Amino acid sequence: MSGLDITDLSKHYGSFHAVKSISLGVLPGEFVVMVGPSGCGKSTLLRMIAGLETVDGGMIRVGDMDVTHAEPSKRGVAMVFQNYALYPHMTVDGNMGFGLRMAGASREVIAAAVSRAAGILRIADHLPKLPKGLSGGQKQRVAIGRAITRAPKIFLFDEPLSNLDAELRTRMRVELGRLHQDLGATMIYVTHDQVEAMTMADRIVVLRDGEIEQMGPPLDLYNRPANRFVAGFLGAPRMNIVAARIVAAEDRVVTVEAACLGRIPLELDVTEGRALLPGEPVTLGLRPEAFRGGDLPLRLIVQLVESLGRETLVHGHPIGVGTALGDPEGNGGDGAEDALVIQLPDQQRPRMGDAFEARTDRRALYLFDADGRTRRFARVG
Amino acid sequence: MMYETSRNGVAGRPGHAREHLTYLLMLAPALLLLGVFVFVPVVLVIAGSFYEFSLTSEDGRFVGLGNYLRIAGDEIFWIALRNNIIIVVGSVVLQVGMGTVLAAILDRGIGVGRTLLRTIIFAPMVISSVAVGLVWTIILDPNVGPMNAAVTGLGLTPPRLGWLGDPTVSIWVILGIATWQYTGFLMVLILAGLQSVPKELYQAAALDGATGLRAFWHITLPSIRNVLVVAVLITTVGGFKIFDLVFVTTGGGPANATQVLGTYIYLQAFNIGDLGHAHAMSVVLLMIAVVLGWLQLRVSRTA
Amino acid sequence: MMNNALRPAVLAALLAFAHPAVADDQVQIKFWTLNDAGMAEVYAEAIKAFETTNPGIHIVHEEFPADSYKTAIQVALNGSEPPDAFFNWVGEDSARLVRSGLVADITAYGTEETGFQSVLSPAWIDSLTYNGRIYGVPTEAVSKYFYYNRSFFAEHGLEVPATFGELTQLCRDIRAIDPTIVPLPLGNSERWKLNHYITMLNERIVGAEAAADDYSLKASEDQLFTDPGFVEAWRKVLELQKAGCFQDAPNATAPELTRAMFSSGASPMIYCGSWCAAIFDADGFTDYAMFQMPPVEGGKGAAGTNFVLVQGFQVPVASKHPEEAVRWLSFLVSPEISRLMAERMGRIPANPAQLGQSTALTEQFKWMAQDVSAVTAQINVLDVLLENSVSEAYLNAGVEVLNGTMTPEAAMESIRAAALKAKERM
Ligand SMILES: Nc1ncnc2c1ncn2[C@@H]1O[C@H](COP(=O)(O)OP(=O)(O)OP(=O)(O)O)[C@@H](O)[C@H]1O
Ligand SMILES: [Mg+2]
Repeated sequence: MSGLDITDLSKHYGSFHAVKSISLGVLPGEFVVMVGPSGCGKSTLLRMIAGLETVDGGMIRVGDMDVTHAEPSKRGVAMVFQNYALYPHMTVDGNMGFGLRMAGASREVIAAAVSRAAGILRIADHLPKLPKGLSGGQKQRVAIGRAITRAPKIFLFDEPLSNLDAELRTRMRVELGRLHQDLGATMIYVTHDQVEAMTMADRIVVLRDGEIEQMGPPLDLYNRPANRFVAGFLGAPRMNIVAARIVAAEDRVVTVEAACLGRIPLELDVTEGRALLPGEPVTLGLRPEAFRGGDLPLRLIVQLVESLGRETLVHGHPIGVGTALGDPEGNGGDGAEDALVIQLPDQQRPRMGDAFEARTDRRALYLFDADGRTRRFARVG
Repeated sequence: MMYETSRNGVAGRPGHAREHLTYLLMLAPALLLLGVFVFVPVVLVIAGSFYEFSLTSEDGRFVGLGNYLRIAGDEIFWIALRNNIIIVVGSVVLQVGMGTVLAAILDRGIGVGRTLLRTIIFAPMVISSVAVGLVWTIILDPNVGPMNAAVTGLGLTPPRLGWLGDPTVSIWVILGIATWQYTGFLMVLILAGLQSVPKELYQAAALDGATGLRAFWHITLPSIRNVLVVAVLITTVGGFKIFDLVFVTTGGGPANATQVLGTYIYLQAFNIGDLGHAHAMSVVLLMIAVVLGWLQLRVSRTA
Repeated sequence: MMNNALRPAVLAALLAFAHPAVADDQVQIKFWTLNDAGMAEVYAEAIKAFETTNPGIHIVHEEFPADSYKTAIQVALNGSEPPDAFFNWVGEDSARLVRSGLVADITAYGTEETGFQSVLSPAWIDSLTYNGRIYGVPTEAVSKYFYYNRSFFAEHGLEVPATFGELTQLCRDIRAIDPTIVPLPLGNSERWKLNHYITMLNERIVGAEAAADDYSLKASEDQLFTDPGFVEAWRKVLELQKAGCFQDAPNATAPELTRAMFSSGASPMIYCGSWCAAIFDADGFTDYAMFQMPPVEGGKGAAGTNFVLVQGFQVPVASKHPEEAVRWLSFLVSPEISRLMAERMGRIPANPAQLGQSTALTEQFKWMAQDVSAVTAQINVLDVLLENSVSEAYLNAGVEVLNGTMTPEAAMESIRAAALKAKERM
């Protein structure tokens, strides 16, 4: 079992810098999930690790071996694609054994590896079928089985479950987790799905514009996002961002004023960064689930109510902030949003257009400076 | 089983007879055209193959299978059939083979100038065979043609009797011209097939250790199998039907060396006026076509 | 004019019910030809002139493309609406129609002073005479000559050959002057070029009369094409080849190219049809003269014979107006129309009477027309004369002899085999 070491990896497409000097160490047996907005370079990075893209600079090591320029098949990695990429003219059996066949393994070895993988994934019944005779979930299982038969040191998954329906996705997610435990293999997993990221990852890597924004265990990232981007990226619905201004500052405590919340003194957790002097614009962050009562009232005009049964999402425009109902982006100047989302833990039916008062606690507030860096985290628990 | 039940369901419905009538009426024009332009001539040709007659004789003499027996003993018929087979096998190997290689190069190898190259290679296809034949007779002319000059320039000796005048090389030269003309078409056909192969398949194959020729063999070829079957069939049928190219370049000569069934049937019918003989050979050609058509149906069903 | 022509017709139509006999007042002659470029205008002029002097006759001219013409004629002659006069090639094409009784015996017509029997020479009339009866009117002919480059011959002191031996010597002499010159290029890619040589060589060696029974397949089975002269004729072809007359690959060379070799001055001789003169003139090359295929030493050919391919018109037996049709055909071979055909279309007419007065014709053309009219026995080209499968055998033998894939003896064996088969079918 090997880990993966990436140092200063970069990639250009023409003049476009798709991967910018990324360094990342993955421990043996670790499950790393990569997230980030579309086009940020997740697939590119994964494909560079697999050897499907050339490397412009930097180094990739699998275990102790430098594989930066090795053939894809010589790297000890296997990849599972979003659209399965099964060989349509080969049976399930043939698909799964293809890698070993190319490596010159004997019939018996191939058969043993295939039946072991088929057993793990419970697709033994489908071995003689062609891929076109399989359901989406079965196809993805075969694709994973194909990866397993090769007994790779590292598994790479590029959005493997996104073509499946929600129910199947949930089941497969659990299964993949079990598989990871059974095999104990190193896995790198790209997804857009928050739940997948949060539940499966030992560590999440957040990418943006070809760079790593932050990495760490899921809850660390959720609770202590290094900047407003990461804070906004993790968690659904997204964290509410409210524009504010410093009105007083002394040592580690600043007083901020926001139109909808009034004046609030806050203790800083991070002192390095730009100086927070009075008059400095900042933003405050509030997770939607943070409105469970507290000392801070917040009134808003209800614009949309989503009743999900177990919870209710109320979208609204805070009273006291310049109205910008017509703004389709819903964004104020400073990355702050005009519309807030409040997640209520029960079933409520506020009417649209009515005023609605929610209460939150100052302990739940995040503070970001004008550079977007987090200066204060919410207090958890 | 399901199918049967649902069919019976339709059959049991009232108004079923009227529906049938509608289908029949809608098909009628096509059936009529098919009958007049395909069925009737075919029947006439088959009937004619049992008579001995000429363009000028008013009615023929019934000879039973006589014309077919004459075919069996007609040495030139067998030369023509052999030449057709040379063209068919050669075309399948060269045109489909080179078409596949060129398509693969354009699909994966070359990035720039791909469209231009594709157009150039495809271009001969849009020229009529007659024009192609005429152009090549000029290129291959033993006195002034550039081909002799080129071959001599390479230090080789062109055939003394001319490319199209030497009975031992002329059929191969015609095969070459046909290849020049049709390879581009097959390339475009196969290229379309290649481009519909998902890129991920190649990536998966690369991870499995199949790149380059191995990927071509294990991934590309099986993926475009249907296209290749169609290409082989088109080429085979074309090889049996070949007429104008031979007619224009050699007229079947020198001394029947490049005779193919098409030109030989024409010769027997219109130059020699032995229509019974020509009819019988047409029927043989028809049988070959029918067998090929049946094969095509079978292959495309199983694929 | 139009009115004059129409009035009787309308009248006839009106009266037809009451007096059917009057309907014959205006005679319509349906006249079929090939659609040679420019010919329609010439015919239109001739028709106009003819109708002025023959108001009772109306000529309806219809044209057909050459490739479908034979079929069209065949169908029409067996059908209910045949033409009254139609173009045909003289030879097997005309003879076949005579044999099957589809064309009329016109011996009784055209005997008046301006009739074709009075204005054409007996040799010409003979070309469409079968068993002493006349079955058509010949109008024009093509022939075949060795053209030579006058300046080249003068410059190197070369002489027109008087015998076949001298012709082969001529080739050697020219090769001696410059071995890269092809003395007598042969464009046999379409096979008929060598067939024209062998047509004349057979005549020069076997003799037209001796060969006639072989050609018509009338000779007995053990005699058919056994005259050693036929083999000898093929040997003469090989003699020409050995003397360096031809270029290397005659079977792969197009006739057009050899004509260009001659008219560009690259080659000093060519065996070419009478129609080639107009081509060379159009190429801007006029420094040529011609001579006939010379006699072969020891051959049995008759003096005064030459390759002449006659074309003319026949009248279907079904025509209701054979007399009027022949009157129109006689007009076509009148001195005036014959001259018009020569001047406008470069045709060698059956009636050369007025050609000498023409200033529009070249001296070479006048020489050819004179030479053709002086021919006492017209030699028909083999691929027209012979039964189709025998003709095919002759054409292929020519290719193989030139390629060296068949000896003269083997060539004649293959031709004899084809002839025996054809005779058996007859
Ligand atoms: N072959 C290529 N040529 C040029 N640009 C490319 C190529 N492949 C990717 N890119 C660019 O590189 C950037 C990163 O692409 P990549 O596929 O890695 O994004 P991603 O993070 O996987 O996005 P998604 O979540 O939508 O899959 C994108 O801006 C994309 O346009
Ligand atoms: Mg991606």
